[in-house]
Amino acid sequence: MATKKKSHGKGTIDSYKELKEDVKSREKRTNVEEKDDLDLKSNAKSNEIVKELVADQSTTASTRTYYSMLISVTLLSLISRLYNIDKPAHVCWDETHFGKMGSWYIKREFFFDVHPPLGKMLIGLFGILTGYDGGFAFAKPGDEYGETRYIGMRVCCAMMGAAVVPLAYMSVWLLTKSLMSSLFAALLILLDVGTLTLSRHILLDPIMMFFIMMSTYSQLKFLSYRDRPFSSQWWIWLALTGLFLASSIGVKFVGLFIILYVGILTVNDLWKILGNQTISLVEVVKHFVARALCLIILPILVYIAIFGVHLRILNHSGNGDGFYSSAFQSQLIGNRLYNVSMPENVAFGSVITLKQRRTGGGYLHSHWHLYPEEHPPRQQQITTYAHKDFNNEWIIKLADQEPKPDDPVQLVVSGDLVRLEHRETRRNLHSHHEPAPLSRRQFQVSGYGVNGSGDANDVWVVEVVGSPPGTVIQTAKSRLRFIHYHVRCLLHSHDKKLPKWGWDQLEATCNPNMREPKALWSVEEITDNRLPNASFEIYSPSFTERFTESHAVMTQGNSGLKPKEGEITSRPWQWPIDFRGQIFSGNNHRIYLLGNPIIFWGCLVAHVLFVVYYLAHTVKAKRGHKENKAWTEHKETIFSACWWLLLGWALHYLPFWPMTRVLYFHHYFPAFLFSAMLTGVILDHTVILLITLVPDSMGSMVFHTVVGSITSGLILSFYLFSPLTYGMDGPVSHEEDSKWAGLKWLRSWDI
Amino acid sequence: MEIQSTTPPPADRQRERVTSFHPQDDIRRLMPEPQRVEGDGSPMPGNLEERGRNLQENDRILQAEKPKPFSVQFEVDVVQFLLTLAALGSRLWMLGHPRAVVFDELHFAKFALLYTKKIFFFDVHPPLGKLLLAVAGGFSGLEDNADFDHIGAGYSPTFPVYTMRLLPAVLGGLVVPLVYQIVVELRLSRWAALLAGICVIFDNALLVQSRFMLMEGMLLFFMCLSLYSYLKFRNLAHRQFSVQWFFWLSLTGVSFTCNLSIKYVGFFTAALIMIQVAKDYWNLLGDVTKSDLCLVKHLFVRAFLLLTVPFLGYVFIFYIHLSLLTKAGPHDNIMTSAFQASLEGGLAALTKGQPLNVAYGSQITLRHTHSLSPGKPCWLHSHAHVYPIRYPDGRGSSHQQQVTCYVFKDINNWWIVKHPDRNLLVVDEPPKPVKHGDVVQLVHGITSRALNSHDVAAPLTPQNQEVTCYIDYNISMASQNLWKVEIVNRKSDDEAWQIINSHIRLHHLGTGQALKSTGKQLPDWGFFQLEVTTDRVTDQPATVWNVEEHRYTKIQDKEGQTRDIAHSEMIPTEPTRLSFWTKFLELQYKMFMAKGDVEMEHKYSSEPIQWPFLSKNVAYWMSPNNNQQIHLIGNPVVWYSAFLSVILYVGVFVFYLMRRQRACYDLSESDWSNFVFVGEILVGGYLLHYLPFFLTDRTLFLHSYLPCVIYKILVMAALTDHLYSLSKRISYIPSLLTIFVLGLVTCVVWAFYRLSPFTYGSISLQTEEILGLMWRDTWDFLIHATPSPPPQ
Repeated sequence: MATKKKSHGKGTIDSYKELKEDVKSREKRTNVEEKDDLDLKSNAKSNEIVKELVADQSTTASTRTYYSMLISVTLLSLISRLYNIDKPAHVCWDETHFGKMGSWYIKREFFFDVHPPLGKMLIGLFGILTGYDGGFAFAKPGDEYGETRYIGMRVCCAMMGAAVVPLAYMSVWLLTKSLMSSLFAALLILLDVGTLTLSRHILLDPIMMFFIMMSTYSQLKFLSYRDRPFSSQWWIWLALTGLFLASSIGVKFVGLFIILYVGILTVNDLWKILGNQTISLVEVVKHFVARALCLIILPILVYIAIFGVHLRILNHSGNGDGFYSSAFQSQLIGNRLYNVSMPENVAFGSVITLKQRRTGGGYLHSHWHLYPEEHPPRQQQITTYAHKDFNNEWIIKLADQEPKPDDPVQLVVSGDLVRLEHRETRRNLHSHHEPAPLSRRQFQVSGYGVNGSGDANDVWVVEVVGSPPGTVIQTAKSRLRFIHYHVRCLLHSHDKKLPKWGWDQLEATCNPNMREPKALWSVEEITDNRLPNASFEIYSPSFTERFTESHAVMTQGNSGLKPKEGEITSRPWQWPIDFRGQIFSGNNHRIYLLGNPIIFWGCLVAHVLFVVYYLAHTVKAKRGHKENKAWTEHKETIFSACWWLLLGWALHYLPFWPMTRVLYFHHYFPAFLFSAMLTGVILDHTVILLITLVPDSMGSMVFHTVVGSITSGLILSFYLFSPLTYGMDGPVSHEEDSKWAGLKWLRSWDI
Repeated sequence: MEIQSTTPPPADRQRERVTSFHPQDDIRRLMPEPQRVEGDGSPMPGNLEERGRNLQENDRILQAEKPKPFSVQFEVDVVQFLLTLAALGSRLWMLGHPRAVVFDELHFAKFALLYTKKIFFFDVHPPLGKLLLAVAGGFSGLEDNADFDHIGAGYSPTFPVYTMRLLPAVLGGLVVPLVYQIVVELRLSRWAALLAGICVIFDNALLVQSRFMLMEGMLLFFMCLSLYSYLKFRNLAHRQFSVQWFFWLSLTGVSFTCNLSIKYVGFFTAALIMIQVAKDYWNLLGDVTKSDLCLVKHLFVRAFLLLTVPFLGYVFIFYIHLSLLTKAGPHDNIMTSAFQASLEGGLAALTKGQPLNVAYGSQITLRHTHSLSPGKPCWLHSHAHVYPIRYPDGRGSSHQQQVTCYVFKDINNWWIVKHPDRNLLVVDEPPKPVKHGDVVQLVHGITSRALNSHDVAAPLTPQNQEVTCYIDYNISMASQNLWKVEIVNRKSDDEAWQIINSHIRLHHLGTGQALKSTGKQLPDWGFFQLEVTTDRVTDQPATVWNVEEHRYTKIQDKEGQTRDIAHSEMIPTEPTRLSFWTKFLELQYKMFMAKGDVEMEHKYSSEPIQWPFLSKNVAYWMSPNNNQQIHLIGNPVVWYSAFLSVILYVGVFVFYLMRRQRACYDLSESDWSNFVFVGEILVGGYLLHYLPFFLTDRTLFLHSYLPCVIYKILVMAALTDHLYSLSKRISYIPSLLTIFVLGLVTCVVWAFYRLSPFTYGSISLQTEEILGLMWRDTWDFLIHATPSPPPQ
């Protein structure tokens, strides 16, 4: 490894020297020119020479060294990611979730998760390919795997994680055409223990990082065919970009940031094309359409296809059913609603359950508990409840009379006055001019009366929305409104959770706003043996409906991930400074997710350096300083590369600041990849700056010392911190006799 | 109505034009003014540049003219004058009505009252607005012991309602000439300025908000003032370092201060201007004729006047605030003990004469320094009750004596500091002070049990350790009752533990965890007191405590003990002197933290997305007797057309930008740069004042949108002006546009007139009329309930 590096070092130092010599001679020349204002010809000529030199530097390097370095970097990355991958032989951290979900795909059981399905489907696929049968429970972190064939899944994840390093190498090369920058960038990612830890487990992160880097790389590759538009390579890379964008967002919704990133790159590119007067407007439109096709239409199609596969695979009932509507559930084999037949209409005397028609809407519910004293009057609670329960059952009755067994069957129609009696407690659904417990503007809904006899405030008008009065109510299909006859308010429920006394169920109210669009209900289940049964199959939702419903449920799930009160959560400001890590595994094989502090802090320094360099450069330019043209061009390439990388970093980092959901340290790593690439470029630039500053004779020496010390420093820090990812044993670091005490550089680290 | 008379009828246009341009300025009259003869006051395409040059030429000619001694030049813009009159008229009309608390006057009038009584209060907004109100009230004899506890409560007859409302109303009225001048300084026509002025006058929301003792009237004034003075400053770029140049720059800085010290949203205007100043400076850098030194001078002056001065001004206002409020009051509890002790009365009275240093044998009460919910301090507490053996979730407890944090003063809050090696609880002679780093035991005064923690999960926060008072059950569970004292705000490492001033952290020896109040309420078995635990993460505000009350433990020999205390170092009978900076920083911290306090849904709260569409109003006041009522509701014509203008302006900008990218230059370079500059200032200002609200978690009301209303009205003026200057290219379009704008103005006035009963609250409308005015079904006006069957 070391020898390779050296040989490479020699390869570049020559080009450095050439560049530098030329820069110096050019500077001298320009000085002369400025004084004497002569010989413009030689000026142009020397400019060309510089250009050739710079070009030469890239071409010579690209042929042999480029590929040898690429291969060695890839190998190193694979070795580091796969070393001891079978340890620890127990479930680490979020493997418990993603392993579990992978198993569910194998067993085809339906479940609910806040992330889109692609990542977990891939894990499931890895499992199948490597002989895992989906039988392991992944119950909690720390569970021993035993005989389970888990290594395959880890290896596949690790391979995707390993690919990130060469991808970074190639991306930086495309941006800067500088081997040194690319190599530094790759090294920084290779030697970061945090990225390493994340890549070695059954998690979504390696998959996510892979897709993000793939999208970036293919977009850059696509842009490099700028001068050959509509060629086959151009199309291939454009389409690949779209494909990987869809894959990114198919793994996690943070994929949105990379879509934004590529979007901005594309808009910038299109803007330049628009400004190019040699391209006709028709051509511009063609460019635009091609991008719209590949970067908008194609990803949408792929994304939908991912969900199509997801819904096709998961066709058995599982633990996620309750989050979805009854129509959705009726599609799942094993669910109570699968292939059932129920009466199609509702008659007075039927026992029904009412479900609110909105995503996450629960069943109208009541139980043997009263509203507490602070929310008078102390009548029986009415709530909505997401789970199926016998307390969700109501008997629908005529408003003014008790049903007799020998009555003829009378169907409920829109506009009827009805009473709803809770079957278990035999109290009527009731409302009155009293403020609801949480929504003080709305009215309380309560259970009132004894054995079905209450008062005039138990009367509700049932309406089928969008149909004339007299329409027969249909099970599951009709959208119903329940209007309180006296108060004129709508039976309603929303997301507000009642406190302890209400068993964390949702508040049900009577909403005086008669235009409330969400106060809609449907009859979900009905039992009435007087009525003929019909198959439920007719209501089965189309794919589009299931697709949109999945998204609505996911959005709701995501916004529900709020930190619990008093819980100390990771905040975005802690991430770049490597303030606190994340415990992956305890016991005798402890793994701690923590970025390599040298690299993390180095990245911060690099960000600052970049700003300083850039300011110095632009202020100088603005103040009219003349510089060697080749040098300016070189700097401009560097800076534009840095700006794009900085943008990538900012897009993956800053949006977390205003987020209120629970955040974890590992959310930072996509941003870190961009940060590391930026650092690579800046390191390279700093080395060049140093060489131009020292006298010629020392150039080579300085180059070797600086590059050598940077590389060895990085390797040393990796060596120091690698136990964090390969496993530590013995006492924890804050105990006196721990051999890890020396690693506890910050008090906040729990090594 | 007298207000309508300011709208010039079309027939008067010619006369208006003449009067609006310095009729008394004889020098200008002598000069040839081609562009003015030709048009009606609005700039023509391609003329702006020329006009700008002309104006500069004018200046040069003015300067070149021989100075006329003893002569005063005087010019009046009649339109502006009339606008100002109309604005003040509309703001001051019936200012004293209603003589009752309107909306947030409940707070602000009360705060003003507290200023006159010198009683400390706490508010999340900075003090300048309330100070100004208090000054206005002070001049008119605000000494009333008025007490009003709800919106709608009547003021007492002596309460200077009119004078106190006068200040915001006048400042709110002066927004109109400022807006007019801003448009002029943006190099737009005076017709556009007139349009903007009319829209501001006839916007019901801006009017309502500036008629009462509320902050926005003043805020908007200073906002416009800073914008205006910046534009003045910018237009003086050719006369750098002149007196006017300095004056306008300083005025910008001073109005930053005022802005920021009334409400923190004032920061956005400051940021907008700061960005523009930075951009101007950047362009200045490109001027290679300027020396580096000159540029440094420019930078220094700007940084000093726009950063340092506002900062100092902001601090100074807090200085006045804190030196005025010297007495303890109702909000003391929010502040730390040290802060409270520095106020007269309150805690200071309680702790007067206590020994200063905590010693072994001291009896103390420990207060949680940074209460998690404002106004709810708590003290370390224990009582002779034990933790339940098993919690509902199945976890077990140690079954030892409970330790809680209690929000009331109580006999059970007393603890005795004990030396671990000695059994005696009395204080030594002389008292041996506890220092930073010392290890102590804390013995509960009443039950005589020691504060203890161990590896048992806390009742509500299982990741933390339980804290108990140790009971020896003889079950191989040793007591772990040693605590190391860390003085958080120490200056040196051997500092002694002082009461009130020392913020301490108690580290549990052995586990290294720190004593903390989680702020969670225990269930009935814990008497609903707050949970106390120890936490692994020691470095957090929740683990900081301080001693509040303190006395040395009495010995049997009572006389000797009294003598002891008499000889021990006493707190001076004066209140604790906290330096201004300590108080200032603490107040800033608490104001910042209090923002995180999320209020529950309010009847009239709204979401930022609803604001541009005016889909909600806010009820401010309702007469108890009839249907007179005041609402914060904008003039829909103004709001919609102005919002549309913002979108159009951006659209036009993008259109030009794309055309330019294809090398089609529709506007001259100077027109284009002015178009861009106007867009940056106005559309940028609009977005800066609007978008950040999407990120806030607090309950928001419509009045947060009012700065945006000013900006969008300005955008409308700018857009109209631009379209007009464009339309000159086609013959009949200008008159169409004029008719359209006149029609718009008529609509504005009509809408204002229709909604004015809700603005002035002077007319009691019939139910049908109110229902007729509900132009949007999401609006919520109030109707006095006709006798109806009582609710059940």
